[in-house]
Amino acid sequence: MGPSLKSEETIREYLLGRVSDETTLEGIEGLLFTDEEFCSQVQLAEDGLINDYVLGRLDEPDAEDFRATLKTNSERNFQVELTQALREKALSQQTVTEARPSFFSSLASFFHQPKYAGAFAVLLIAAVIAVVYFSRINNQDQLAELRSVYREARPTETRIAEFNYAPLPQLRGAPDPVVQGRLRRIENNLIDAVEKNSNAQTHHALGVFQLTQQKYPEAISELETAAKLAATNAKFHNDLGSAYYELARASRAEKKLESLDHALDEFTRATELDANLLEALFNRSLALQELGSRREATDSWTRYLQKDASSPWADEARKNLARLENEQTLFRKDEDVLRDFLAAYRNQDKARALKIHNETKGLLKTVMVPLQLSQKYLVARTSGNEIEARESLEAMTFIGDFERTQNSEFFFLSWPAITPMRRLHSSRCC
Amino acid sequence: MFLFICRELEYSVAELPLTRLPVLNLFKAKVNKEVTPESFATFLSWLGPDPESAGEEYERLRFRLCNFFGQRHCRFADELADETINRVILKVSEEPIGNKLAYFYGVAKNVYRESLRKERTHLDIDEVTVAAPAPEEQSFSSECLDKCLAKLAPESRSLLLDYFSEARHAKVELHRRISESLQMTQTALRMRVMRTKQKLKICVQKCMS
Repeated sequence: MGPSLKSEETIREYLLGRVSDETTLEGIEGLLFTDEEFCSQVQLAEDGLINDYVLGRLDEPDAEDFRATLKTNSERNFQVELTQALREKALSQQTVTEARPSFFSSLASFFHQPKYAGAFAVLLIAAVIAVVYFSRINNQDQLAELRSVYREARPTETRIAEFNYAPLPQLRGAPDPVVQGRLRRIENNLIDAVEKNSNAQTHHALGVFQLTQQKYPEAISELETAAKLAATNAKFHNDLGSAYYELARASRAEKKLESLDHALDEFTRATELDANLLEALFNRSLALQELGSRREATDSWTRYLQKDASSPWADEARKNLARLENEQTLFRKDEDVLRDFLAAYRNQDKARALKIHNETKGLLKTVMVPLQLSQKYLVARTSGNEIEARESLEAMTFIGDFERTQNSEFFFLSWPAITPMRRLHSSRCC
Repeated sequence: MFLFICRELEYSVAELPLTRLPVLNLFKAKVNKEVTPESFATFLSWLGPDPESAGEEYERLRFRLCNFFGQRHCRFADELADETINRVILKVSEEPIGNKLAYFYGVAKNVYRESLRKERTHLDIDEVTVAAPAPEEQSFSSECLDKCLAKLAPESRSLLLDYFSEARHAKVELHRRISESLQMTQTALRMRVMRTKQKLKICVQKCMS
């Protein structure tokens, strides 16, 4: 029932006042009051409806139903009025802009004169070279200094471009006074650099600094500017993605998804621009994992390890991959778990079979392999399938023996079903 | 009264982005209790650790409640939402409540049932539906809109105006272009537009009140 209530179609019908079935209505209301993500989804859908209504994009039956909801929901009515007023303002501004010759068209007519254009081009090139050269040297110094501050413990879970590996500390205390002084100097120099030469490099360097200081909104603002000014720089997009990712980790549930979505967009863009940028490949995998896209995250980590198999970052990638594989077992259907277990058992792949058993035994749910085996045994006995019954019994004994020898655990051998089953089976067979 | 409450709590209006505070109507509950600055303060700290998060939480609650009553075709969804909030304010100051949203949902259902009974009583007596005249809504102030648009960050302002600028047929293409130029997905763009509009709404409501 859950997923269908969360579908866009159902939400739209609900917002148009077309859901009259009490069970569905209560189901939606229940989600609205308990599920933050669903509430955000409904808010977004309502805003979409309001925009579509104002922009005349609803067909007549939808528009009529929407109008009817306005009579009882003055909050929505106010939002419609606000959107209509915004639309009028936007259209009137557009008319004014079109009527007035723009600064750019005046500039274009100036450059139609070749002598001005040539001289200006030479001056511009010289100025750009000088500015980029000096600001890059300064920024590189400051970033190198910043990297050295974080060579023992890295400041973010994600990889910032060109930062070497350092473990992620569980707890971060306030830096000591010497480090604080260094950080203050770096910050002042980077702010100065932006004020004197506002370009992609200076904004990027300041953004990275703010990212390391956990000032995520400020970091995003600087890094967005950098990424706009140098739209093809993969590293800038990677670092912007990092800022969004770290913001997501610090955000409440309803905002987390939005920031993670931004982060994934930026990491993806970075990998599109440079398929070998390890930082972005690593971060993209992290974002997918955090978003719960297990299969995509698994693929992404595997691809990362194909490009980097030996660095300390690769060790973290392997740990994440292992965690995903464990989670996959936890979230799989009962019958899939049993099928995998039996496949391993039949192939005498004891290690794999016991791994599956170990991963599910603590759950004490129907997914537990011994429980499923005992059910399988009973079904096989009832239907007269002796081969399957025997196999189930032997597999249960295999688990029981393992638990007894490895963990001194007799629970599985004395599993309520095993002993009578064994007795029953041996009396019939032998 | 609102200013008085804010002074008492050492908050400024700007710090507390609550748009319509039901307590300001000096609501009196069935048991003749009144919302006091103290109970209001308790309610705020229960909603969120600081004024900003309490304000955000309040907006989402109101959205939930208005939809709850609106989709159940209640005549004055807003007032019922306010009534629900008022009852919770009074309760919060008396005893601890664990699950906020579940509690709000429960109170909303009670308020809804009571509103149905009231409507039925009206019909029994008069045999006609005589709705009270709807409270007069203030007409939208474009002056406030201008002021609030000016307060937005320049990029947010131009994003909103760009988003609503083109003719109907060009809208889809325009939104695709904006999302490409800002290098974000169209869903992320819709979210950003929605959040900016929410900010604007709060500002305009405050200005109009």
